[in-house]
Amino acid sequence: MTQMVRNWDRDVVEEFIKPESQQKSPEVFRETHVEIDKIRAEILRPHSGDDAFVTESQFRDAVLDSDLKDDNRIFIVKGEVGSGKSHLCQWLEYEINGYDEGEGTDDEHVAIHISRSNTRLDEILEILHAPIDKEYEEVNDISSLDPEDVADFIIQGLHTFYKGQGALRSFDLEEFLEPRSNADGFRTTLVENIEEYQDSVESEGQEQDIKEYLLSREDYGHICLSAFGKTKREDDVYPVVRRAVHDLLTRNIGIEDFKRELEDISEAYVEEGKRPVLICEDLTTFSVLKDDLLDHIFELSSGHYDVIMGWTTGWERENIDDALSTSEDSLTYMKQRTQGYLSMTDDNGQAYFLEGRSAPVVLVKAYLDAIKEHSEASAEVPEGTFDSVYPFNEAFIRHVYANLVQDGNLQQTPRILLVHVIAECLTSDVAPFEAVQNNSYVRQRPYLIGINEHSTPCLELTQWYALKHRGRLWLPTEVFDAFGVDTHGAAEKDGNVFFDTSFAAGDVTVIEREPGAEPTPERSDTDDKDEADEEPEEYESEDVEEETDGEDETEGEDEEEPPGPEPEVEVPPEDYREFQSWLMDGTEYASADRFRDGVVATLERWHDPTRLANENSTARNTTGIYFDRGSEPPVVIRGADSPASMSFEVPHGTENEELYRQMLHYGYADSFEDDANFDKLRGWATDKVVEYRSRMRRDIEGHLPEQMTVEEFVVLAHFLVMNIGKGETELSSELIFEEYRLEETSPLSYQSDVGIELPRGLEGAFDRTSNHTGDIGSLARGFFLLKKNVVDHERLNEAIKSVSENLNSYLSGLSTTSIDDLADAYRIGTTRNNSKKGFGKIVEDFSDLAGELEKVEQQVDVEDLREETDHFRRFHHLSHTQEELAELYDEMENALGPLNVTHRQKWREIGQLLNDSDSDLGLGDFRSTLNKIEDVKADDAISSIALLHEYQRSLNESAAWEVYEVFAEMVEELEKTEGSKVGDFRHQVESSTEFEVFRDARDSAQQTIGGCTNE
Amino acid sequence: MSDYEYNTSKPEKLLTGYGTVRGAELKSIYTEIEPMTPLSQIENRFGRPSSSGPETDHIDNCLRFLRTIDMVEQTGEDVLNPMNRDIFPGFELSFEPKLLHHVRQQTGKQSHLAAIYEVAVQEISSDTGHYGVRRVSVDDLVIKVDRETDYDLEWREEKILMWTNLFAPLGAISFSPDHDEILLSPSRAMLHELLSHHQRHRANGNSILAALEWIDGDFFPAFSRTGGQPAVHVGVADVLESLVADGALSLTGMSDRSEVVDLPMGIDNSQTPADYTIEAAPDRPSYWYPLERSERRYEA
Repeated sequence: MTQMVRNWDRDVVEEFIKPESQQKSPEVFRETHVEIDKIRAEILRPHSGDDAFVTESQFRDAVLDSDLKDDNRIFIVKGEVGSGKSHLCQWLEYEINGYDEGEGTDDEHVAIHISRSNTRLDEILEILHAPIDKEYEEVNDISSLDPEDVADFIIQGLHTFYKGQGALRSFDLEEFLEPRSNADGFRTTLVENIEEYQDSVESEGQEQDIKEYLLSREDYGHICLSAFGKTKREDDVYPVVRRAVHDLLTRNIGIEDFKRELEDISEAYVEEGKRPVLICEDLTTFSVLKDDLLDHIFELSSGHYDVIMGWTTGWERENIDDALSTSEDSLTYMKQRTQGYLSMTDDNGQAYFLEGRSAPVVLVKAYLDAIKEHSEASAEVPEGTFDSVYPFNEAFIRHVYANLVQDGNLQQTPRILLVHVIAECLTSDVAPFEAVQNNSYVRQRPYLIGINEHSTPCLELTQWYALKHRGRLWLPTEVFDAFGVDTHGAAEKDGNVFFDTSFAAGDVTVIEREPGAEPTPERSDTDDKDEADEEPEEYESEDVEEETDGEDETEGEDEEEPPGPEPEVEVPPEDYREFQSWLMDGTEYASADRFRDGVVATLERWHDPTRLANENSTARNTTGIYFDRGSEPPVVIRGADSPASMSFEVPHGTENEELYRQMLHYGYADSFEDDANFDKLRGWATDKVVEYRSRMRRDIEGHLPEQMTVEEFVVLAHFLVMNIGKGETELSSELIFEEYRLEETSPLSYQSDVGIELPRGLEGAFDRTSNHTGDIGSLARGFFLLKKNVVDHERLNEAIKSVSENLNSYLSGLSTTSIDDLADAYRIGTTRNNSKKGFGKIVEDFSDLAGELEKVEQQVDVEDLREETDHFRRFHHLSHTQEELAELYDEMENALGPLNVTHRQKWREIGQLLNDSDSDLGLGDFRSTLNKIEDVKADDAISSIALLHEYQRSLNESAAWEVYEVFAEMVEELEKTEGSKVGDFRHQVESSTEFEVFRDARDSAQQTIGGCTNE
Repeated sequence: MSDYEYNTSKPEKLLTGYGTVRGAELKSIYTEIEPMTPLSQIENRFGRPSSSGPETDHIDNCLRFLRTIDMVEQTGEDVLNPMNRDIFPGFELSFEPKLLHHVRQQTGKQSHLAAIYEVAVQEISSDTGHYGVRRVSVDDLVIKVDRETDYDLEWREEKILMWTNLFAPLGAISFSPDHDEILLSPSRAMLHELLSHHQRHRANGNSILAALEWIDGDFFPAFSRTGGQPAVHVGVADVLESLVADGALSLTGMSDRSEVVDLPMGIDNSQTPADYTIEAAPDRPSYWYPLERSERRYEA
């Protein structure tokens, strides 16, 4: 907790610092008045010299340069709200009328000051009449009137006096005034506006919210749209209607003709030998009388006033064109008729007279001196240490002033500085550097010293108070003592505390001053023309490094400092401050987007962050698994963004300032700073990316069978389709790079004619996976190739070995695996942008396939195949040669011949084949395949599928199968016919099986068949 | 230290002509080669299988490259032997610094590959001092190398790219093709390993000057300026700073010592340290060689 000794009374602060100049007593005003020594004068007559800027005295002298009967003389003073217009007007009033009764410049001039708070028309009339002895009729108080009645009165008046008159001759007033139910009817609008006007008059003392017109151009447009179906922006009609409305209202409250009234008043002044100086601090105050007022005064010969008219820059921009009922360019018209056209502020809203760097300090000092003077409280404070503006210092005031904002825009005006910052600080319980932290009128600036090394009070104190010398920040130790702030290990020397400038300080202004040197000289010498001629000094708002401006103060000692390249893009100080807050406590970070951009850029600088594949591969266009959600790698700034799984989390922490600052900088400048430690950025990115990939892998592998890696899944998936497609049973690196194809030997080929029933779902499951065979192949290349033609032997070997060893458990594991909660964002592709296909879908389809293969294992019995091939076995004899078979065929054909059943084409073909000595029946293959079917122990799906392949292949390749098929048919045909011979044939053919099985039977069968051939 | 042995029968082709050779496969292949390793074993293991046997063209390229830099020799019977395994007795170098060492040992025209690195570190000056630059573009480096070296060859972008593509995965530099940016900072693993070996096994083990001179002479250029007080290149200094920040290294300045190095910035409170102490490196990916940065190695 910081402390602060007060040498002022808080209640005195309120006496001296008030929002309106008029609220102050003349003494207070005089005491705190700081000369307004810089006003831009586009026009000022009379004024000697051609200087663009004048002082308040020169302005006053010009105003007072009039004789009793001179025509109206007009001086326009414009400026931002709070830029000192009313202060200037107040000063002028005191200058003319005197600070005390009876004083005054001369006997003739008398100031009539209508301040911004004088919004009541009766009040205005009263002020106008005050210095003279003239009877006038009291007027009604506008707020006492019933808006509905007034509106009706006005409508009635318009009908009666204006219809078809002048500019309204061709205007359908009837239609315009027609009551309408919607909000855009004339009457509804008028009632609303009168109510608003009444409200604004009631709430005196407020600025800027007096109802300007009872009918704005916008209102007029809306009403026209309802009445005529189009927004008639007929320029010549609107001012006339508005004027009529205003005239009728003023008449309603008892002012028959204000213009006339002004003329009469002028006459009265002349009669009394007085020259009225009418000071209209803010023209809008006149509201409905404004038209008359302007008409009168710009008719220069109609009166004898000196008029000072103030308005804000914003008002001029938006309303000047409608201000006069002249069709000319109003502003030009006015300028041509004025004696003065002056501006208090520049285009950025900054008061000219506070432009000099120390001017705000002088202003604050004037107030502080007065406040302290009038306070009872007294305390020993080191005023000198605080540049005589305790509890502030020069740096504090200048930085605060440079960062004044209202509604988010820079608004460097005395009122905001004094009322909203200085008074706030002086009445606060905490020290100023703490009080401004949450002041919405002060744009935040970054901490200047390492946020990791110092306490918050120390950061905040140096943030606003610190001075710079030779690249280091410093402040007198007394300043820290005064607020009870611990300097925490910072270097102390000769009564000053020194800090290393944190890298942030390069971007923001810090006042350059040598320890022990005087503060920036005050701009007391206002007569110095040369200084007034200087270019306006640049301010923090433009983020200009002041270091190079500091030469005057430090007499060239800065030369030793390297000039440092001018950074082209910088982080706006308020964003940087927000970033620092986030670093410190991890919450609230509205401008996090830029930082996030930088984080993404860092991650992508040396890595493809969300890709999972062989990280060492340099093969081009290989496939990997990407986590693809959103348009860029998912980065979550912890505290600022809502948490999301599978994202790159960036935690806060002051220790990361240096590193993160680079990323922040990148977000604004699209580049890292030249002096960034790139190894740190690279190391950070590497740690993040590898950790992220490890999470991707864990996440994915968590959805695969236990122990199975992504690589093993790829190997297994490829193996399964190669088994079904090609009948492969051996896993090898060759197989992994072999392309998948569905061969016609596959039991799932449409050409398959193996009579084994497969699980009903197998075909569908396989069809779905066969959509992925290309992806599996490319994933295999993505994970197992180091280069187009170089294999990552170690990785591949490991996967093959593991899949081979765990084939059964992996298959059953895969069949029950669920990818329901595997993020859809895992997609495969060669780049993040082209990754479209969901990896989960692939796993899911292979899981289904594995399930069907499990069924193959359960349902498909090799015994079935043995049964199916039984009849081949029955007819086949080991010693059968083509010759023997041909003879057997002939014999059977002969036997069948008379029965007239030998017409079958197929039989004849077989007969020809058998009798063609060049043909190859494939008896050996037939035999070995039969044996395989007989012997094999195919108790798993992979072997079963492979066996079916083998059987199909043999069927396709070896004619022997057909031969025996035909024999079987022939025997069957013979059986159908009567006759003992048939039995013989059957016996002859069938006995071959017995031969094979039973040794004894073989002998006799051999005899039989042998006998047959010998016959 | 046993003498470095040059391969007596080596291919003539320029090292930068091996534009497709990369660190990953060189490391895999080299690691597989024991004395008397048949060529066919290497081809079978690493050649991508095809219907006509393993693809061997690129494997042969890699072996020719390794033979050119004296890491491998091949007998007439197609048997491979590693070379120069024990040139640093007492400790075994990882493949990465070993390859850098071999590249640095090349003489004559073949020294041009190492020369690229030297030019990048020693000949590119910055506006802010004599510590070199952190980053350089390929184009700029082509021009610079062409201007600063005197080889009888035509420097082209491909030659520089060969160097970046070979050296980046080894952890000697980093390369961001999208930004055309070569980052002249070695990997932490490389610097840490060499500093460790030096401290434990070499004379003046604790002297940072001796260590960096050894690295500069035998592995990769570490000094941006060698005359006068040797100035440590900013890219190397950045890594030293990271090592210090992570507690893997400490630097000590000694006012009475003249054998010091000149750092571009104060690290560990000294801009001219004399001694160093190396500690175990953190087990984090940023401390692993690039080719070892598999997420499979990462322990959550």
